[in-house]
Amino acid sequence: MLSALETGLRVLGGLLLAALLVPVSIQVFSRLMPGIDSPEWTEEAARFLLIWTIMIGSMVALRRGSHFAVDMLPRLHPGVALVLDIVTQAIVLVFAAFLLRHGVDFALFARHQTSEIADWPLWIVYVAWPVTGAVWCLFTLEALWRRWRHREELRA
Amino acid sequence: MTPALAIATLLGGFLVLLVLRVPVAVALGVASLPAVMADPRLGPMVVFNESFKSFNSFILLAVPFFLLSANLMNAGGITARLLGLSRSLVGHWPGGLAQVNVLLSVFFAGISGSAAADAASQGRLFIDGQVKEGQSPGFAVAVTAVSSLLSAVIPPSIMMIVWAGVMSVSVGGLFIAGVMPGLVLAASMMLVVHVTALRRGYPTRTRAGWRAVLTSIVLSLPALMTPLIIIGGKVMGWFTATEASVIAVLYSLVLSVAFYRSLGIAALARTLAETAELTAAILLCVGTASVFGWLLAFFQLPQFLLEAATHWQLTPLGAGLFVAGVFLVVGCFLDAIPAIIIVGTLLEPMAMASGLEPLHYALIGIVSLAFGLVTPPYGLCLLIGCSIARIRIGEALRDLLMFLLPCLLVLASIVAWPGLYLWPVRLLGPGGLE
Repeated sequence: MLSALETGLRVLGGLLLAALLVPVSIQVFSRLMPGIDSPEWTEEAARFLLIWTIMIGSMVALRRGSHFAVDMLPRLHPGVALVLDIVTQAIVLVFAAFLLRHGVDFALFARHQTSEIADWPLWIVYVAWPVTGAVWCLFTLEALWRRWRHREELRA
Repeated sequence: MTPALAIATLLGGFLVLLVLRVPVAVALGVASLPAVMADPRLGPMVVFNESFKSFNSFILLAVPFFLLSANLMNAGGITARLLGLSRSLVGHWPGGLAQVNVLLSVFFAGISGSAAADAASQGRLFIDGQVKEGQSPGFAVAVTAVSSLLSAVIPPSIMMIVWAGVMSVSVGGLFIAGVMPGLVLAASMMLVVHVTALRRGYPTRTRAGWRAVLTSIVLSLPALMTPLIIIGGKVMGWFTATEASVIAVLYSLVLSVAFYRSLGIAALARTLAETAELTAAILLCVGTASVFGWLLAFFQLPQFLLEAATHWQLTPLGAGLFVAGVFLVVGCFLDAIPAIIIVGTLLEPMAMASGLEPLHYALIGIVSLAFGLVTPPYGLCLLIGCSIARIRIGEALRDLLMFLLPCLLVLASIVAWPGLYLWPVRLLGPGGLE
């Protein structure tokens, strides 16, 4: 189930990145070609697509464990390492829950606002924060569940 | 919340979370939560507003594009052509593949802005081959890691893009300022390879014939055009850094799909997905680091440092050495991007007050933080190299130090004689200094 979600998000992230090329390319070429005016919306579209690319990518990166972390502790006993790992995941869960809980307020707050240049509704960008929080919650809970089962294996 | 207590929870909390192996981006966010929730003037919306503001920047767009062009180069066979060129040019020098490794990093750095991408691709290309050539694994890892830091110094550079995004200095000027230090660092690395190879008696290869050299130059000429397009377009004022990055992507796409014909649809889809994930891993911490840095400023840490500096009466030279020292230490423990956003902005008022030029300050900061990519305990490129070679960091440490000492001398010369390195910026004038 969650693996399918991860695959879907991976594909979506790649598509968003490809889509990101469109507005910036339009901007460059319309400026280099004489006689064509650069459309005003390109810069805003590019910025908003970047935000979604970062957020979708961060969900994939969270499940695949590719967010950068610092390894300062020496090699630990497997039991201790597991407990520490559970604590780490729980801390990530706290942040995910914060993004979800207060991100909903953030998106609701902007429901009547529109963007500066193209007059798009702003919630289409703001909603990226609570969505990220929700997906992070799912992936972290899954990770915690896996570690809990692993703990029982270690004991056995 | 009193400022002192707030700053203690921010910095203390962050350090504890780092030790617990919480990802850096998340650790910066979580460490910000107590201050945000406890101070009645703040509240949770600070986290969202500040991270939105930092992401919502046109200049940051250059980051995914320069990552994408680097990944396209690797997937589309451009790197392989440049490898052929480097080998035919310097492969017969003492140190053989190690020399090729450094020179390829120079070419790669001129097209890509990501040191991690450089370390990952060249680690796979070189480490096994260098060991087969008779070099020690530690030496092979050290060369790969140290030469990859050139990607952060030679333009385009993701670190420079972020630096220009958060501080008052132009990306164009910074890009041009990075050329000379990058080339001098590369030369010092090649010198270390030369001396070590002679001392340890590493075998040399035969020189490539003129015909082979010429063929490899012709084959890689289209790829070598990329840095010219990027730098030239910036200098001539044709396009901004972000626009140059998109041109680099389109150009690499055309080269790999149409010219070298080595990129299929499946490989392209994989490259896009991987780049999106890497973009997020790099840029997510821009958001949380901005929140964290904003809070430090809100609780007046920069002013406190500025007063301390006025008290010390630092000269530009003293300030430069101080800044380099701080960034070198911070770089050992923290990723370069959050370090720029937090420490870079923290030290900026102090550096300016001591009479350091903004561009000079930026160059010192970028080069010092680039060393952080290879210094333990947290040196991303060193970790990548070690994991490819399947050795422990300790085994590469001695050779790493051998490379870093001359590089530190180069850094010291950047601090002491900025004129040696900044003349291209002054020469190219307004285009570079806009």
